[in-house]
Amino acid sequence: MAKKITYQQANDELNNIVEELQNNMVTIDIISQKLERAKALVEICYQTLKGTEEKLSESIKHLESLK
Amino acid sequence: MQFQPISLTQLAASISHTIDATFIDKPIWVIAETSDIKNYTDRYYCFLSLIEKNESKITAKLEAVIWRNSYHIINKFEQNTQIKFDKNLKLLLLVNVTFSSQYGLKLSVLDIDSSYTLGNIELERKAILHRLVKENPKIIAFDGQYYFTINKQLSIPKIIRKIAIITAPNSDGQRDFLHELKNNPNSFVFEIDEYLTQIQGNGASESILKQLQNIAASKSNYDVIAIVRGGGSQTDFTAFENYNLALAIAAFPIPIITGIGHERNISIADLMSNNALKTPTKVATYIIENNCDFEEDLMQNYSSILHYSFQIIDNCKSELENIKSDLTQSTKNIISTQKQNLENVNLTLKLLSPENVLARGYAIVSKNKSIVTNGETLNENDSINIKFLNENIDAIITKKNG
Repeated sequence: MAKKITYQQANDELNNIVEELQNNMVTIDIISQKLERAKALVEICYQTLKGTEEKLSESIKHLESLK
Repeated sequence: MQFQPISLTQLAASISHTIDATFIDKPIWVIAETSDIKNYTDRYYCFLSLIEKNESKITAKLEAVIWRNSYHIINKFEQNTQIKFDKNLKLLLLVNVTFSSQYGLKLSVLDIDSSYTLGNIELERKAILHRLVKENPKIIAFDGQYYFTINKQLSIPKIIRKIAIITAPNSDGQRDFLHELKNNPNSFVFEIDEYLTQIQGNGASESILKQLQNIAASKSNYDVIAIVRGGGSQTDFTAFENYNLALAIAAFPIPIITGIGHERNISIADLMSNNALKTPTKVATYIIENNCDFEEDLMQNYSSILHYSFQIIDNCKSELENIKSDLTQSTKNIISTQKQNLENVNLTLKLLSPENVLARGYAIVSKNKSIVTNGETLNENDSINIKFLNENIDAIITKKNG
């Protein structure tokens, strides 16, 4: 499931978790569960960003070679 | 009746005398049309006929000659009018009427009034333009300054790749145009179909028109059509002043760019076309620059896309950082709130514990091992137990005070 999630979905879910935490909607029993999930989502987001950034750098090189 | 014949020489002398009496040293301006021109360019003289027509009937015809001492007037006329000195031209000529016993009557041309011809051309040109607008209101419009044609309103494709060129075979125009396109610095590749045709002289406008029709019939999706002319006579542009050709250009559904090498004037064909440039080379340059513009736009857009993409990534990164810090902060808050709650509970519990109560001087009274909370249940002589913090005392109630 984690692999299929998009950046936007991961980001939305992260924001939901933050909101739940800020509004005291999370009980102590599930807080570590939520944090684990958040950690995984942040990881996904960073991975996606890194991949995109690498592709962009390749494109920049390509553009420079065209000029 | 008695005839006294005279010799032909005498007659000729008599005619000569009569003509001289009227015309000698009295050059006359005469309006006439040229015909039967025999131009000996290497010997610098030119024989021609001057005629006047009433509709198609010739009402006058006289032989004329431009001698060596006036021969430069041909060149001057061509330069001034940009028209080739040719037959069927209506001219205002300064002539000497001469008569030679051997060669008969001849008009010796001394000068040609270029402005008369220019005026006529301008009138004719205005008439053609007027007719083009009047008879084809859906194709050509004139706002008093500019001509708007269907062709002019077509937009030039952002990328020009497939080109039809109408030009004269083996002409400088053809060579210049093709050379410029094939050797463009950007290495753009063009697909060029040549529609070769006579581009000056009699029937040129019909030939060009025919090639336009061939282009239409080919159903090839040309991006533009170039009509170019270069290297030919600098004086024969009449093909491009033709009504039918002008109309065909105005209505043509593919943008037409002209480069007909007309240095001074703009032809009617130029006015009707999408874009009129001076030379074939300029047409080619225009096409290359058009594609260059597109390439530059493309690169600019590509560059902007990359730039904004990086910006998006940066935004995402800082958003993620914020989320991370929010997560940490919120979790910490929750934990510390919970801890505080626990502390409070603990404190309350401590405060409420019996030891704490006893320490403050209170004692617990029990009867039969049950804690007594209501004094009324106790009677005199009851055995009770009193629990202090450190001591446990059994006692008997001696008196109840009520």
